[in-house]
Order: sequence, then structure tokens, then C-alpha cells
Amino acid sequence: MGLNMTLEKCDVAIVGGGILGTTISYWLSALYDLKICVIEKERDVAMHTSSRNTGLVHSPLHIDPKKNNVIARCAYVGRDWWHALAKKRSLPWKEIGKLEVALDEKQHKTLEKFQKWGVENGMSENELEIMDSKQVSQMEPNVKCHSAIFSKRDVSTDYGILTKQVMMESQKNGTKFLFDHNVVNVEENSEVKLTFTDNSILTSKLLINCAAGHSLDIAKKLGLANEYAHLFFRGEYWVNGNQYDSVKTNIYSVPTNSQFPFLNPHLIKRANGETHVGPNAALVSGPEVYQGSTSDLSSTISEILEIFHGSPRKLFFNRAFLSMVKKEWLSSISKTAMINRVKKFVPSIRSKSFSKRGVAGIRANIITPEGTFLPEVMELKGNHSFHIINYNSPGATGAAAYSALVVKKLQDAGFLDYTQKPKNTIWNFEEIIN
Amino acid sequence: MKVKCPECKKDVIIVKNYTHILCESCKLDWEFKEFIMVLMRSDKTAMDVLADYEKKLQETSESYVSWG
Ligand SMILES: Cc1cc2nc3c(=O)[nH]c(=O)nc-3n(C[C@H](O)[C@H](O)[C@H](O)COP(=O)(O)OP(=O)(O)OC[C@H]3O[C@@H](n4cnc5c(N)ncnc54)[C@H](O)[C@@H]3O)c2cc1C
Ligand SMILES: [Zn+2]
Repeated sequence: MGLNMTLEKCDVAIVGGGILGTTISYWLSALYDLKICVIEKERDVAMHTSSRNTGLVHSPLHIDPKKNNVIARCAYVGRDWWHALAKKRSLPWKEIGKLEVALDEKQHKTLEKFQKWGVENGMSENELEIMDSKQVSQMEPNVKCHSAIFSKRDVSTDYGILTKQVMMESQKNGTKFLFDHNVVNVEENSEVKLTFTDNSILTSKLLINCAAGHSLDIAKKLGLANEYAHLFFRGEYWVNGNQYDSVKTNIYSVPTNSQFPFLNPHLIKRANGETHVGPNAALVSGPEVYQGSTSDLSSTISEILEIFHGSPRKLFFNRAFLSMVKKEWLSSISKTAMINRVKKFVPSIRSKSFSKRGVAGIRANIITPEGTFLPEVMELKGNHSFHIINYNSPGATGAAAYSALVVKKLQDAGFLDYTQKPKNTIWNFEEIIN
Repeated sequence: MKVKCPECKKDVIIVKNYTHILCESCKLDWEFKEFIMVLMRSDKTAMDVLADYEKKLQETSESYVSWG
């Protein structure tokens, strides 16, 4: 491509072909007659977090309805939506549920809270069963615990495959996917100008930033969220190489650290039948650092502090954070350290059986100017741009539903003044926006 | 926020924009990175010098959004 060559002009440019950008493109292309381009730096959709995750369709029992009812609602509706698509197109879908175990009375109280939250978030009482240790051992003889909650609605799937299917549906509606295009600069004037690695340019009336671990960088190029920073945590997995399987369903445990609730490795049953342990959360220096560099904690920290500026640095004065970082680093270099965490509720598990590493994924967390973890998604609006930052778990579960809400927001903000198409969609738009 | 000097345990000064940490009584001037490395080296030192910071974090992160 020649220097400064203008590639294309479009109405909406979506940066990021993960599950979020792809589902947004689907809705826009299904509802409106406009020119949409999804820009992705890799050669296909879902090459990053959207394929590199646990693959579970989560029920909203961990989400406090008072604090985050939108995300809870997206997870609830999202499950049925993915089910509809998986059924229609014969995609991976295993309704095996999820058992979340408590090891003592205090954790049991948390389970009771989760049951309440689940019901308030729309689940029916019989989808969430609290079990005592005896009932658990009847269901899963290898699990030892005080009590557990079994969520029947949870499903094992493959979000990479689901995203590819949504891409095809979106293409049928006219969306163009521009692969191998890395956005290196963004300018916003009367429209948005995107520059790629080879200096070629694309202009668009509206930019939707769905670049996940790179989304903050893009927003900052337009002068937004300057006081915020990204931290990256690598979630690693180990794969059971044995034929013998210790459990039949997904086994989670109650989060023990309320400051960092994402730190509890699980025993996962993948849609392809494999059993994995993971993920942990090892601090790494970038959104795509899938391997290596953790053998020396000091140099990792030092690398991160090199790129981590200003007041979010306060986080490093938090002792709980520093000791979490140390502990997670240990579980990254030592398989035994990771397996031992699961041993607490599956005593028969053997580190030896887990002979190879699974596909790691990276969680990008926003750190606020106060030096705290931002628990929810951050949406920012520019003159001709909309940015979605900190879109995390259970992000894949809720993606199609959350995307519909984003489209509604764009409508309300007056960004979508185009001819509407007759509604002929896989999912019912009104179901989530009303 | 209060952070103490690992040497003399008096409160340090955090230079604006978190580039440096100064201890007036020891006349020490750490680069931020260097200071954190000192804290990381020993849990015990970190425990002693890190201050009342966790409470705020606790308040903002009680939402149990699970990792994966
Ligand atoms: C370890 C782990 C386990 C998880 N498990 C689950 C789970 O079991 N269930 C669940 O519901 N959720 C889970 N999640 C969360 C879920 O995977 C994410 O919320 C979701 O995949 C985010 O999708 P995304 O499209 O925002 O990000 P991504 O899939 O990362 O997509 C962003 C895309 O943007 C592209 N991009 C970035 N910058 C540029 C640029 N400058 N130019 C062009 N392209 C660019 C990237 O290449 C990438 O493809 C998990 C997350 C992690 C980290
Ligand atoms: Zn001193």
C-alpha cells in the first residue's frame, strides 16, 4: 500500500474484531443500511481474549444486582441468545452446569448471597441448588467441601467459534472485515481518520473502539481518559493429559479475596471434552504477552513501571496488591502451586496428570487515578467516537446483549441517522433494550 | 495516603505525579520504581511501610465479578 493512500470511507469503523466488536457489527448491519468496517490487526476474528478464555457461559450469580444490573441482565439474556445461535448452526454447546464450592461456614454464607443475587438477576429458584457435602459427593465423588451451589444454566462452549459465526452473519448483512490492519493513529475532526502501520488511511463518520487491551491507548490518542492506566494479568491453564477424569462438571470455589475476586483457579470442563485447571492471574507487561518473562518478578515489575505513569501508581503502595502479585507469580512459574489451590476441594487431583500448558489469555484491568481497580466497564464518548474500555468477565457471555445496548446508546446519542432495515435478526433486539 | 520510609519509618513525601519518593530525615531520594522494588524484595518491609490504603480498594471492588 502506498504512502498516505486513502483506503476507504465508511460510516462506522469498529476497531477490534473480538467478540465485542463483531457482535456490535452484527447489530448495526442487521438494523441499518450503512457502510460498516471491522478493523482487526490479526488475520481473523477472535485471535485474542475472545478465544483465550475459560469458555463458560456464566449465570449472573456473582453479580450484585444493585451495583451492576446491566451486566447481570446481559449475562442472563446472553445465555439464551448464544444457545439459539449454537442450536441453529450446530456449534459447541454443553449444558453441564457449574458447581461452586464453599470450604467453611463463612464461605457458605457467600453462597447464600450468590443464590439470592442469582434469583434477583432473573434465574429461577430451581436453576440454583444449594447442596450439603453429602449431596455434593453423590454428584461429584471426588469433590470434598462444606457445601456448594449448583448452577444448572452454566454451559461450556467455544467463544472463538461463536464469534466466527457472528462474523459470517454480519458479512451476510454487508459488513466488511479488514484483517491484518493495525491502527497506529487516530484523529478526530469533522470525521475520524485512522492510520495503519503502512501509513494507509481510512476515514469514517463514527469510530467504535473495541480494542480491549489496546482500547485505552486509542482513547488517549483522542485526549480521553488520560488519568487512567491499564494493567495486564495473564490467566494460565494446565491441561489434564490423563484419560481418567476426576469430575463431570465445572468446579469453581468461592472467591477468597474480595479485593481481587478474580483469583481462584477452577477445574474446567471444556466444550471439546478436555479438563483444565486455571486460570491464575500473573502480572505481565502487555496485552499480548502470552509466554515467558515471568521467571524474574523484579524485571517484570520494573518493565511495567516503565510504562505505568502518574497517579495510578498509587496501587503499588497497596500491600494486598503486592502480595497478590507475588503469589500469582509463584503460581505462574510453579504448576504445583497452581494445582495445590484446586487440591483444597479436589484432594485426588495430581499435579503429574497435568502435563501441558493450555492456551493462556490476558485480562486488561483499568486502574483509576485513585490507584484502584475499576470494577465495571467504562464507556467514553468523543465527538465522532465511542469507546468501550475495561470490558471484562463475564464479557463473552453477555457480549451479544451488551452490544445491542451499545447500539441503543448510539441511537440515542444521534450517531445513527440512517435508513433502518426490516428487522430480521437472530436475536430479539427489543428483549434487551426494553 | 501515608507511606513510611523503609529506613527510618518516618512518613515519606511522594513527589507529584509519582516519579520520586523522598525521605526528608534520611535525605533519601528514590525513583518510584526503585522504591517499589525495595518493597517487593521483602514482604516484611512492605508490611511495615505500606499504609492505610487497602480500605478504599475494598470498597470499590466488592462486586465479585469472576475472572473466567
Ligand atoms: C483468562 C480469561 C478467562 C475468561 N473466561 C471467560 C468465560 O469463561 N466466560 C466469559 O463470559 N468471559 C470470560 N472472559 C472474558 C471474555 O473473554 C472477554 O470479556 C471478551 O473476550 C472480551 O472481548 P473483546 O472483543 O473486548 O476483546 P478481544 O477478544 O481481545 O478483542 C479485541 C481485538 O482488538 C484487536 N485490536 C486491538 N488493538 C487493535 C488495533 N490498534 N488495530 C486493530 N485491531 C486491534 C485485537 O487484535 C483483538 O482481536 C475471560 C477472560 C480472560 C482473560
Ligand atoms: Zn527515612
